[in-house]
Amino acid sequence: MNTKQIAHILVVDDELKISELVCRWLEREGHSCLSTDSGESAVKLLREAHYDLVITDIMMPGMSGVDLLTFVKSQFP
Amino acid sequence: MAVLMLTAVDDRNTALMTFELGAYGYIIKPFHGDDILLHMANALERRRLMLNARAYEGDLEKRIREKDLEVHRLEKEMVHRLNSTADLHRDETRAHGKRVGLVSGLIARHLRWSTESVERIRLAAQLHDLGKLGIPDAILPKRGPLSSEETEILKKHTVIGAQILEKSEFPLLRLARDIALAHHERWDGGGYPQGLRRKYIPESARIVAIADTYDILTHRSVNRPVISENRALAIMNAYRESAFDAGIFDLFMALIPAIREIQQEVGDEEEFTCSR
Repeated sequence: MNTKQIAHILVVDDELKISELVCRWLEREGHSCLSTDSGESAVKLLREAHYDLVITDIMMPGMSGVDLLTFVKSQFP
Repeated sequence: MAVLMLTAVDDRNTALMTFELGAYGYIIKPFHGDDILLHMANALERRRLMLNARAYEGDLEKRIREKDLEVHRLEKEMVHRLNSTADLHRDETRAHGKRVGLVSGLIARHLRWSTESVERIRLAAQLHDLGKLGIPDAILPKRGPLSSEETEILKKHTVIGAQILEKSEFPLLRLARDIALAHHERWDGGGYPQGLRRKYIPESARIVAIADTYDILTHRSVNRPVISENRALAIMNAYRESAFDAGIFDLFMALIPAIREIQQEVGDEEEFTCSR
């Protein structure tokens, strides 16, 4: 397992404090990370750029993490 | 793209559901930075392996497709070259072989043969007269009728063709062998070389017998005047039940418009190129 490879990661949590915290951890490890606070904004970001990994909260108002997962799997299998 | 799920409660049902939907992992809040990193590394590694496997499969499929195409091109070229070689020694031409192949393929397709088998008979039928290689030149392009002794020698082209193609492990050549041997058999058993009857004659040969007769009748040769399509079909119809498989013959008659197109496409440009 090569943890040194740099990944582009999108972190989604309606509590922005959490997603920003997660991003800081990941950036400290050398990854590039973007945080956002809703499934809807995540969809927008995913359409604009390529990400290797999405980390998403399940319980969010509006578009849930499960909805976002379904979207990702259908659009970026 | 890999997806990791976060949740505040340990909800096994939701976790299982997200796995089914394609999630790579499940992290329960509150979590530590190391949990995230570990899950992330696992997810990315799994993703990498999956993409590698997918690329490998795709590559493998592509290579198999390419190989299939290559084999098919080889078969086509081999048949074409054999057909051309035989051309030098017989009274029919390469264009005749090609037309008989195309018409036989058309009939086979309408008999609901598989696509693969249709492609096979298109090629194999071109070699129906391959055995004429073994017939003395003096007999083949002869003007006027053959003596009965000469006719018997000429009939041997079926057996000689089958001998050349004998015992191949390849379906294409096995089919070509059946056709070469039996394309002069008649439904009523009056044909040669074995006097096979009805369904004892391979279907491939029953198809080619019709395609071959039609092409010979409608094309000029050194010892045949050209006759009209109507006249050719009337002659053949007289043999509908004695020489031919009537079912296949009726199908052939229904396909005449398409067959006419094949005749025009392949044309006669190669006619009369045989050596005398």
